[in-house]
Amino acid sequence: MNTTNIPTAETLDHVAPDSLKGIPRQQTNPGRWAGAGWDAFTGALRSQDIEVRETKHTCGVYATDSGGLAYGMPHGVVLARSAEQIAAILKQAQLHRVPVTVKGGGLTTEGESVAFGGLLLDMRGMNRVISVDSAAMTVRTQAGIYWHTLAEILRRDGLDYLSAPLNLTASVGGTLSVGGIDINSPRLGCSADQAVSLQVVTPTGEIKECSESVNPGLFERILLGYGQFGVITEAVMRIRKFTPITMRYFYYGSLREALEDLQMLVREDAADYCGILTILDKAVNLLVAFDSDERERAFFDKWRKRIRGHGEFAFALRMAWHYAIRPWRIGEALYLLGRKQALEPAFNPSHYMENGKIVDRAVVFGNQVWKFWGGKQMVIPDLAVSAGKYVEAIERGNAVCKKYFPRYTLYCVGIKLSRPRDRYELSCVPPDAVDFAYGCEFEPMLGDTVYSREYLQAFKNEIYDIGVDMKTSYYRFGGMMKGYIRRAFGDEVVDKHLAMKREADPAMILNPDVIF
Amino acid sequence: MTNTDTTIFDDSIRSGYEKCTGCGVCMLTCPVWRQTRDVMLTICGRTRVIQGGGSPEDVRESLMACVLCGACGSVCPAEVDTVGLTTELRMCLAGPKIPAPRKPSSGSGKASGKIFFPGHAMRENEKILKRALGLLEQNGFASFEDSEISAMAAEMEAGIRPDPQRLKAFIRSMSDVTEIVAADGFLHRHLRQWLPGVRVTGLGEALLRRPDVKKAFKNTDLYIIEARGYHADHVRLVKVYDRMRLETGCRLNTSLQRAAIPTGATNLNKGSGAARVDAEEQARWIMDKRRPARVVVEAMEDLELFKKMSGPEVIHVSELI
Repeated sequence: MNTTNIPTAETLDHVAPDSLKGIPRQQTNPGRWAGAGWDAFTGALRSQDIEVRETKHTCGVYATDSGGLAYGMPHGVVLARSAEQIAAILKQAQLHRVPVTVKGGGLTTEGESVAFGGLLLDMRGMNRVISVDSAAMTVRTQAGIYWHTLAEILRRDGLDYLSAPLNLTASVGGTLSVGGIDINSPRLGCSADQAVSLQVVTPTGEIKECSESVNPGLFERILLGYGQFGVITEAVMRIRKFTPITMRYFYYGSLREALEDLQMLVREDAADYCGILTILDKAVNLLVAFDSDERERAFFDKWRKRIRGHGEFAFALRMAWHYAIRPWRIGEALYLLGRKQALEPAFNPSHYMENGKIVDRAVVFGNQVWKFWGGKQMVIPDLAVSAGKYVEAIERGNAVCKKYFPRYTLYCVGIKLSRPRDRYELSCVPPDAVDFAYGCEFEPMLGDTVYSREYLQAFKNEIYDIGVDMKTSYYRFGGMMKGYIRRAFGDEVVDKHLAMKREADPAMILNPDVIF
Repeated sequence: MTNTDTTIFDDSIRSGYEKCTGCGVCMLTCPVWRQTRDVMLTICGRTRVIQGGGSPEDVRESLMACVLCGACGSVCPAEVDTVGLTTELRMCLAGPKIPAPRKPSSGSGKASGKIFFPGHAMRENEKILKRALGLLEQNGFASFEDSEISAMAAEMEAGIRPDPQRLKAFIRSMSDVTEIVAADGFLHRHLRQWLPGVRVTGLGEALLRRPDVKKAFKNTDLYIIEARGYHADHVRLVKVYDRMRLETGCRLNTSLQRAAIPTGATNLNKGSGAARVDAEEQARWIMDKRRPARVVVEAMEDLELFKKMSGPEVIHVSELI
């Protein structure tokens, strides 16, 4: 690489193709597939009674993802109905070299679930629970199901899933393909690690079961595989008994202290759930939660005195003093107060509370995520790092947020890793992480302010730059990171995966432009 | 846009759809989504089409599939008026919509004080009407000959804009009314809009105010909330019904979102070609894994529906005492 061409901070054009510090970046909107062979492809599908929707309005419904920055139109859309139907589609796609983009909840932010031409396969057509085994504590479900719908069905048996993203409209299949982080991930790991077995349609249209004992190689490639090696059509997941939880909040004036305490709690398995949400740099909220009174008691006996966070009253006094001697920062104080008054009842609604415990916390949190942080553009770049790099990475990310936006939130969690697994290679799990990885989402509060797409993408790129510099990974690293993976993971690993991809998907038609 | 009333499909309707962020939370409660798994038939799909410049005709099938239960609106983080927009768009459609609504009457007289709109379905069941009215009369309500407003509601649901003169006459006739109990939940949002000074409640809520009714509940009961009225005032009613649940120990037909799982039985398009929601399937989902000793319903249509299913005793809320 010719380093003399690397732009400086002053000359950097954040949306140029090489905006990632000298790395050619896949633009948010790749070129659209030209459509050669489309008519023959759809003709073959229709001859097998597969409905392909091609109207402008139907295709337009799928024009973007949650990120809202990438826009693309598929040539047609198919609602997934069965593994057999998907197998038939992929066989024809290989034959006619038609790209197939798979979409579940569509919660990607860099256009990974946007089809830039070709076929869009809407997996949400397959969203039924097949069976619940309350003896083995597993559920077999179609993979297009929303986690929320799964929870709704499991609750009739007093059961719950283990962990899932705090987002009601994430699909099971999509989540297993990227990871899936919850505030109980420090204890239970990512959602993908809860999968017992999968039914997969390979890119060449074979329907295969896989697990740690059956087709283990495929199983490891599919989990955290960004949809490169097959379409998950069914999943068997571990489940547990449903329990309301007790939430406790501690407040910090220092982000670094909060992060250090979070890491200590994660390492020592001090709580069933924990994470950090920031309001301001000097108002950082560490939340811990417990499935049982015993765990809560143990926390207060053993760990409460070791963490440096304050209770709400003590922190309020501290803040009152802080702003009393800095009256020129009244605007900040009012923002803090307003935020507290809005968030507190929203996160503790009376009709979700029973005996001081929160019932359906995923619903409450999921709703508030959309209400307070949602919008047509979900701007949430993230970093996934090993323990030793965590504080530095977050502080650097925090500085970037400050540069771009007056208000923002950081959402920080730990992720337990099980033993070394092939699935972690070339994934959101940083290559140097041992036992635990740590993640942070950087979420600007966009409010009613209109920002240009370039401005938002430039912000995201600066966060991604930190990962490039520090050799971390990203939870949402698809879409624009084709150039990045070689630098972060090295040619050997990337070439190995590329070779596997070429073997599994000879025409390279499944989820193009995400990784390869 | 062709063959639609362009004067009605104005910018205010389009801007209502512009608020939607596309999060899809609405689909989690949508009975049409639950039974079809087709985003194009949901408010989420309709909104995307409208945002993309589509016309009501482009979403005709989707508009007519909607049961107007309002569950989507009750959970929408962007607070989009989903029922209002869907109703408005239906009115913009040209040509045949839902099969003929109930025939309008020749009008109704002047009312005053606290009145009760039993609705078309209850008027056809003399026994239940008598019971409900008997209880409401003890609380100072008088029955009102509501076939005119029932017909107007049915027309609106079918996509026919109410005649302004007729509507004006109705509003004038209500000028001395202070409170309305309306069994038809579809009417609630409209009555609140037309008669801003009048308190509007559902029959269930009105009867649940009586201690003797509340006392008659057993903790083995499953209570079926009438979804349209509940979602029309969800922020307030979610707390009212949650309190009732805690006080009586009964179960409710609510989802994890605290939306009421609708049966769709009150839906005007049931049985028509446009219908995509099978009310019996919805009822089976409500009953799934539940073994109540008794089912108590608010809506007359649900009374018939649950009675058709083999299982526990089914009664109307007015029959509790």
